[in-house]
Amino acid sequence: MDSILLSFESILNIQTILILLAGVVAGIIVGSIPGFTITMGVALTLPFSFSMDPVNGIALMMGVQVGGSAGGLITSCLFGIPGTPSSVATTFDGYPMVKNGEAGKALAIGLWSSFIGTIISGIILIFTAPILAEWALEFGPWEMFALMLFGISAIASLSDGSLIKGLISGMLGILFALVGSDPLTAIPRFTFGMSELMSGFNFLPVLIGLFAFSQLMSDIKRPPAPVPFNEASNVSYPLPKLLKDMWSSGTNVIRSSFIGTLVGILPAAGGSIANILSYDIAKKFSRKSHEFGKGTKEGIIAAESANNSSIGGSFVPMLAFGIPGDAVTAMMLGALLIHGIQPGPLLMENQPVLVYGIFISFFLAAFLMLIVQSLGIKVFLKINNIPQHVLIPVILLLCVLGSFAVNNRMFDVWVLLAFGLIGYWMKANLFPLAPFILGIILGPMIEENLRQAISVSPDLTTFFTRPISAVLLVMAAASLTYGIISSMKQNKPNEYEQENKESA
Amino acid sequence: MMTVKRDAMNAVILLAFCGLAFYGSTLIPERSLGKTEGDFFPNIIIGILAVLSLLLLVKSVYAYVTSEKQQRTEPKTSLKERWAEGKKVWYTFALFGAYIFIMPLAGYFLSSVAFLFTLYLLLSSNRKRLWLVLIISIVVTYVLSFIFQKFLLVFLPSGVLF
Amino acid sequence: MKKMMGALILGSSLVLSACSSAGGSTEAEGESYPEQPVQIVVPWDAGGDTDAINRVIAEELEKELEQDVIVKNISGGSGVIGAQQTLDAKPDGYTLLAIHDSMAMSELMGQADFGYFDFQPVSLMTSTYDLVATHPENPWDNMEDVVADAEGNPESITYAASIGSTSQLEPALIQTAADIQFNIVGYEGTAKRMKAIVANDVHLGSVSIAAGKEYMADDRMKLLGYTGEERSDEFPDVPTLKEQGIDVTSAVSRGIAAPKDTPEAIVEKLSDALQNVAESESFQERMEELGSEVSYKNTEEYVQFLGENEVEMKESLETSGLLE
Repeated sequence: MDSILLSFESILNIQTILILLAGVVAGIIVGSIPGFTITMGVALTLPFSFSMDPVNGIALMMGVQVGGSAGGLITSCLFGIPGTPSSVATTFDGYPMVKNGEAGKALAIGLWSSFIGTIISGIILIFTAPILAEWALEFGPWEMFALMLFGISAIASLSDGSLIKGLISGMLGILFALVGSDPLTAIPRFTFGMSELMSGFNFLPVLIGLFAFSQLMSDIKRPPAPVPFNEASNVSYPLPKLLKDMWSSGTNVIRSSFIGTLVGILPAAGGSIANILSYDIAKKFSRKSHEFGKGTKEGIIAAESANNSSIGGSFVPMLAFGIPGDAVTAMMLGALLIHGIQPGPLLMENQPVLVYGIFISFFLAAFLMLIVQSLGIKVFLKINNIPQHVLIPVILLLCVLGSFAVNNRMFDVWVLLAFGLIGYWMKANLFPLAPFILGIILGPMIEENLRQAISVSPDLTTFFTRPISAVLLVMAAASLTYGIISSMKQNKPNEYEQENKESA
Repeated sequence: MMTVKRDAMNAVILLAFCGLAFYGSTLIPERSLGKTEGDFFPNIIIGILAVLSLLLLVKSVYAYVTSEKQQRTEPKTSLKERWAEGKKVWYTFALFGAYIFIMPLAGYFLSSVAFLFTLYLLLSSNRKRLWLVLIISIVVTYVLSFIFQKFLLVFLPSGVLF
Repeated sequence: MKKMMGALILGSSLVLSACSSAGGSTEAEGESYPEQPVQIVVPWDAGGDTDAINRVIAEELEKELEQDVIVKNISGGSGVIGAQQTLDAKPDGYTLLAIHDSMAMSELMGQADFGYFDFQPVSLMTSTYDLVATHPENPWDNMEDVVADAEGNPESITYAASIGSTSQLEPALIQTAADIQFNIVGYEGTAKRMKAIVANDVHLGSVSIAAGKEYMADDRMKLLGYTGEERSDEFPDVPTLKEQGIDVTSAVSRGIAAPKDTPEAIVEKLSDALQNVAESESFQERMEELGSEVSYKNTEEYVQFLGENEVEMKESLETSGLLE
């Protein structure tokens, strides 16, 4: 308890709070620009963090991460383009809601879900971090494979329309993710002699290409109908109403935050998976699952509380084992290493002030994010008034810059264009994009863990004799069956006629 | 009915893609460095994709055959109409391609200003106050390059032609 | 349209002036170097060992050169992508590359079509040795136990390594030296490897000194051997592989290189500045925290070192069967 008080002292000073604030503002900006990712934002703060003391350095990076995750929400809702990889599922309901004339409501619900998600995962962490860390160790290649399979089973319920097309889209995603050097043997695959492809397609230009181009191009083809103006919900959404909305979805918020935290804890999982997985689970649990994808608040809540709570989760393996769960925690680890702090099982004992300081600044970042973005929403909503023919060129330019900046090379900009064409083709032919993204994220992890498992013990029954793995595999099978059945029910009355209407 | 015919074509495209991918996977050298080779997992995925594409083909052909005759011929949009509808999209793609092709040659600044300005001309039917559009294009390009080079230390292509 | 032309001219003159100012500095041949920020390309992800060490180097070098030194991570392809870009950079001393042994490995294994000497080596900075670790539940207490066990059951002991990078060399060399067979399982990156060892997903793996300390103290790892020539000061109780009858030493040697044809005066100036860095107390302290030894070599010595290193690596790859 003493150490918690000491941590408060180390955090609650003007300097640290200002640093956090700067991080949050920077994060919101980076997150809200399509083509820029949180990872990029955090990487840019890395040099600054070295000259600060460890708590402040981490606070800066955390501010960017928490702010960025909430900033991704803005682009996802307003343009239907995920602002960051971890807000893919946010577009599913956020964008339709904005189109229904409820932009203010969409952003407010998203923001509060992010906030509550952060707080819940913060509370889980403070009380159970050491236990959770041990639990995460139980996940060997077998369990990770089963978990990823469970994740990919979400394809079935994410392919609104045709199940076959959804599965095709997912397989295409996996296939494109396999380009580059084989993670296990370092042999180049599908590079066709191009050295630029050795490291595979970078996720950012692929994601932006798929979503931004397909979205912007269909706007060009058929300029969207002007959004119905509704003063009450389009501009600002009254707080009491909002709190009532959140309260009535209490279970969803809490469930999604738990899912987010748990997914975050597993090494290499992270926000993008948490975001989609939690959306999928919320859809399956909901009695009104047919409303998902059409602008229901439940979808936004599930997606946004999960991606923010996964941030909290990702600190656990980083602090407890020095094992970073994703690129951002890897950089935080670097920031600690450079100060001579080696995270590991003893960090909690040796440096309690630092560890709790990190947790507390995580909470603080959530509050700052809520305040900054509540003020900022009104500004961002003005973007809605800018005409398309002005906005589209600028967004495309930003996408180019963002893709270029990933690795300082034009090659990634060509990748952006190539996936723009693929995304446009898919959308025009009614192949859902979400499974493709899921395939890109999960494919390499499925492969890596499957092959590691086989290398360690060629006996495939191990997948069923290890309890966690067995449970996850059963869940994956159940989720897939459920998705297939419900998609077949939905589409029984002449699928093609229905599609015809949609494409007309 | 458009969709049915197009899906049959999509399925064929996908099958051709599977063929290409399979060719790619035969190029992966075997090194016997572990229990599984590099082409182990790709071949599983290519197999699944091929099966799914076949299913799509069968399904769309089946839907076409069972559909009523009159439905089959009714909604006929000519190629010309479709081109007219999608014209701007393909122009945008072409313009974008030209932009990133020219950028390393002409440099970030020139090519971006030209891109912003031409795309505006393409997308908007408003031809008034074009000087303002040009100024905005220049300002946006400059501000972005300033932020990138000064704060983010990303050095944008400066061009080789000059 | 006229206005557009005007802007084109304005724009091109801006670009022109930018080019000429950049071009001018290359002529200065070191006298006034560095006049603008120096970039060190680290071809690995931010947050790793190589990144951390080079960031410390950058920070210390900044003091010596009295100019900003920026670390730029261009990761991917086991370090090949970032190196490729430095290869194509202007040889003006403003783009440097952080290199280590994996470059020779990539060239030998055919992943890259360039090697050490397609660059201008500047200085060797640090050497880092590894520890062979296992989970405490496993029956072996030293490498001799491992070897004895492996002799009876070939390929029954799993060893985690990033295949295609330098960490694969360690188990490969031990296999050849002790005439045993491991089951080498690919784990990309130090972090995943550590997790696999701590969770006992695999039997053996290499860990860094800094990490080893933490896990040892918490009884989550047993250390079986050290890959250095002599025992480490941090772990005087852990015998070297050589002491245990396995004639293997293996280090990651990290240094700085510049694009080929960088003016000699600039290389010399950099090498001298790096020597001051290496000799500074603050640098040595921070390297110790990171578990690395400072092992400065000037340009001439470094070139010789790299030549020997390449030959040695080729031999080890051949003897361990990774290369025909």
